Amino acid sequence: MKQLVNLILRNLNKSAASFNLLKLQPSLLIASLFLLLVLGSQPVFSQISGITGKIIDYETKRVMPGVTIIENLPGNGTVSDVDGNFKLKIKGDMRELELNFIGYYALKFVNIPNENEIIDFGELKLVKNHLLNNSGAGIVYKLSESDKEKDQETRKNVVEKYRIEICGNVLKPYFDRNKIIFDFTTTNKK
Amino acid sequence: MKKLEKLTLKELGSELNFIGVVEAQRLNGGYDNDCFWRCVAYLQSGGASYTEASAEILALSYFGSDCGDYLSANGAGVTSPDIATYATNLAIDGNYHLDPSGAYIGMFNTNNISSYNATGMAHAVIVQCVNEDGSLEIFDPQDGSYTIIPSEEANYVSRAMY
Repeated sequence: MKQLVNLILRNLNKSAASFNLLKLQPSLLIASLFLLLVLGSQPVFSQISGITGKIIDYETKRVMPGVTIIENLPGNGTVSDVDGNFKLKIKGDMRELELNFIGYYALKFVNIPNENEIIDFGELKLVKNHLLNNSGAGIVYKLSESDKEKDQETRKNVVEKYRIEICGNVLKPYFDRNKIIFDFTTTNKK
Repeated sequence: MKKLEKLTLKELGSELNFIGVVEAQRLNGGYDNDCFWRCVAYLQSGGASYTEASAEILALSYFGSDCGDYLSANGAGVTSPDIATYATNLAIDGNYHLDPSGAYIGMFNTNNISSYNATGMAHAVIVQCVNEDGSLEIFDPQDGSYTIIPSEEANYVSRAMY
């Protein structure tokens, strides 16, 4: 490709010097036009236009209605329906996606690549947060030792076993406070 | 017919029995820690109404006939599983819509937020927006105050609903 571009530039210089484009080899002229056409018509990247998925509980496998799904907080978002399904039309340049439901760890996807126009996230499992699950609004926090132990067990289990496959990428999670993060830059291609 | 007499506030005070906050919380309508329901009222009305009365209507519609027991146990506070059930029910009925401005109900332990008195109580507020530096602009419908929660404390605020 580099050689081809150099060749074109050399010929263009020649033609500019002689003010006579007809001196160009016909094959090179066609190649030049083809190259300009290809480079000019290709977008720099394709943009994600929509996402779909289904949300279930990590432990019980039950579907979860009422989960909020937000593109690049605090922007565009939706709520999962009675069957746990969601569809979201992407308005911006989606690089992050966050799923939230009270009493569960937020699920966050970061560095989402713009390789696919529509991404099907498949079945996404939300993990119960035993520490948050026993809190509430307007009441005193009650954290028991058994809650803390359950939380440690859950975290260990999730890090060891929870894997998500999206568009041929296998993602492993890590915890950041009350969020489970899946980073596309650390995925293994299948 | 007995003639009615107009009493001064001082005279009225000596005539009537007053009840304390704790006792008031055990009575229907005796709301105090209704932060969550005030937030719901705020977002469902587009910010137009978040009075104690509007919060009470929402709480009563959720707890129904169990309201007396609920108030006895938690005052007007609400547990996380109840918030989850409330959100699920709205979604099943097709009535759960996110606020177009991106505002949502955030919840935190007051021990972790410096602008609140550390009572160990969980509190719900409206998170109006997240600033570029990660700090949160919040509105508290219980006292009508606006506050900024700094970025280093923002991680303690969980998204409770919307």
